[in-house]
Amino acid sequence: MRPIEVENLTVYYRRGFGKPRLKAVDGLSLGVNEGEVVGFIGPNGAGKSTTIKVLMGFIFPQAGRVSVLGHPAGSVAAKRGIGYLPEVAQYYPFMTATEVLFLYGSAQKLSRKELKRRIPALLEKVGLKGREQEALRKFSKGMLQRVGIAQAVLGQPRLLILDEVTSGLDPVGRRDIRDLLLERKREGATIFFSSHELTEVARLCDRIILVDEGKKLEEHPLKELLDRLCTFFITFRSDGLPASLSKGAAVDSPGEGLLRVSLKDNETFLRTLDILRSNGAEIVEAGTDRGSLEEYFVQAIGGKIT
Amino acid sequence: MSGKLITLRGLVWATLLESIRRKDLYVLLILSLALMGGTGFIQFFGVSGLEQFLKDISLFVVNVCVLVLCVTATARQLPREIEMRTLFPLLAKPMSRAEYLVGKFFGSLLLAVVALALFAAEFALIAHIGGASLGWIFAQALYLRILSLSVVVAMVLCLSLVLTHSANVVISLMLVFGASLFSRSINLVYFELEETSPLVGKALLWVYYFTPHFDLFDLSEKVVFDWPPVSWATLGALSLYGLAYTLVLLVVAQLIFRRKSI
Repeated sequence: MRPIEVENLTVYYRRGFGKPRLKAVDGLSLGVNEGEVVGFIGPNGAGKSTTIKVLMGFIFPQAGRVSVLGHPAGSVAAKRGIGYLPEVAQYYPFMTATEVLFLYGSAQKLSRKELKRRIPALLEKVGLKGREQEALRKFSKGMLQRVGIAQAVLGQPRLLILDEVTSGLDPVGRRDIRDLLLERKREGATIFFSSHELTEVARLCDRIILVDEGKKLEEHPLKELLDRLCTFFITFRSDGLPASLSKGAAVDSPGEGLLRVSLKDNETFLRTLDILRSNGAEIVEAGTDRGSLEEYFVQAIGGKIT
Repeated sequence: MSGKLITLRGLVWATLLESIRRKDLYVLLILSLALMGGTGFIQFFGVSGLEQFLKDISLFVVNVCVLVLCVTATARQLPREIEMRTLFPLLAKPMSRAEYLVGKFFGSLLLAVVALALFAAEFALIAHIGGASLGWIFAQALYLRILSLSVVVAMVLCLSLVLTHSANVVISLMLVFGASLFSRSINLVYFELEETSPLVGKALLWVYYFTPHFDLFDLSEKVVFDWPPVSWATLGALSLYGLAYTLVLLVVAQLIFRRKSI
């Protein structure tokens, strides 16, 4: 049994009387393994938040089967092991951070004694120490996001479902939250999150699932994808290009009489380096260009990023 | 304490806390004190024998204030939670939608009862200063008012699942304040139509039985005219009527809410 299993999920939204329904999710199938961190990425309107809402039981699909922690999505049994962060939430503006965590903790059936022990430590971890007794209406968007993450991890869930996890956070906040999530990962939790911050995705994920127009476009283990996106380059000075240089090699001139050759794999890179040296070329620089997830993303969705 | 009770306590506490911090209660308390105090002030001008008038006006103020607070506070619970998206993290916790509705119901009812207790204390004080007496019938009136408030809360909660906030407030207040007028009108029209259009008459009869009769819970006039307490049998019957209505409305609310996409 995998923590998240989705088969042929289809969700329509009504658009008003007389208008055709909008297909938000179109036959989507995906799975998340125990202890895995999966990034759910895609452009705006791709169906990410809708899928997450179905996983939480907030909306009901027209077709498909969804199970969370071995139970039907939205059931109390499934929710016992989930920590959830909504895409945008304001929380109760008239409450303080401590009060709101007491409320969410009581909804998780945690005793007052247990909450009194957990809440101060958690607020410190998300960087809200000293602000515990302030009303949430005075909080910035980033601070509210920290409260949201605190409520999501409060019950020490087995599965974290986070919608736009780093939204509104400053670099320090992102690091704090990343550390917190990595700590949860080390403790064995499964994490499924959507984000537009691809740098964070690259830092956290074991695997990514790319969706667009409600359909799954691709899914890759992150390491494999980044290796695939990685290119090798050699910058050298030479009178001309050696004839034996592989035909597929892309060569350009960065200026100052230099030439730069880009190569796809390590083997070709080493062979090309040998050829250039044996032809008396002066090697100025040789190395790798780490591929960026952003470039991959833009290419995969056909430049539709919004 | 069992898990379900911990959740219920949390939801009730949050509902009460919101109203206290929004200061709705204080505003109405001050307003009602001014109205009742103003009425009681008349006796200082040498006008005597106005105890009944004082009780009548003061009880009216108490009823209106409590009902307005109860309807507006209950009507905003669900729409506001959806609009502000505070409902999502809450429903993501291991509780059913039924538990959430019950929590909101008891939270709103407790708020209404607290408001009623405060307004009733105000009323008792003004009545005492004004020299008016309050017998057992007053305690019975308060008990029946609480029962009617439970029906009102359940009804408003149910309507909030299908109506906008403003439409819900208007319709609920019309139903509550117009209950007695509505019953009398339907009765009259029914007797008129019973023979000429029996089908319409029957339909009206169904509407009559289907609509909650809030006027049955109102003992204000009996309090004003110092009636003896009503019988236990009547109280028992009204208790059953109120509880049955509350239960039916909560079940209907749950049937709507359980498959509602949010």
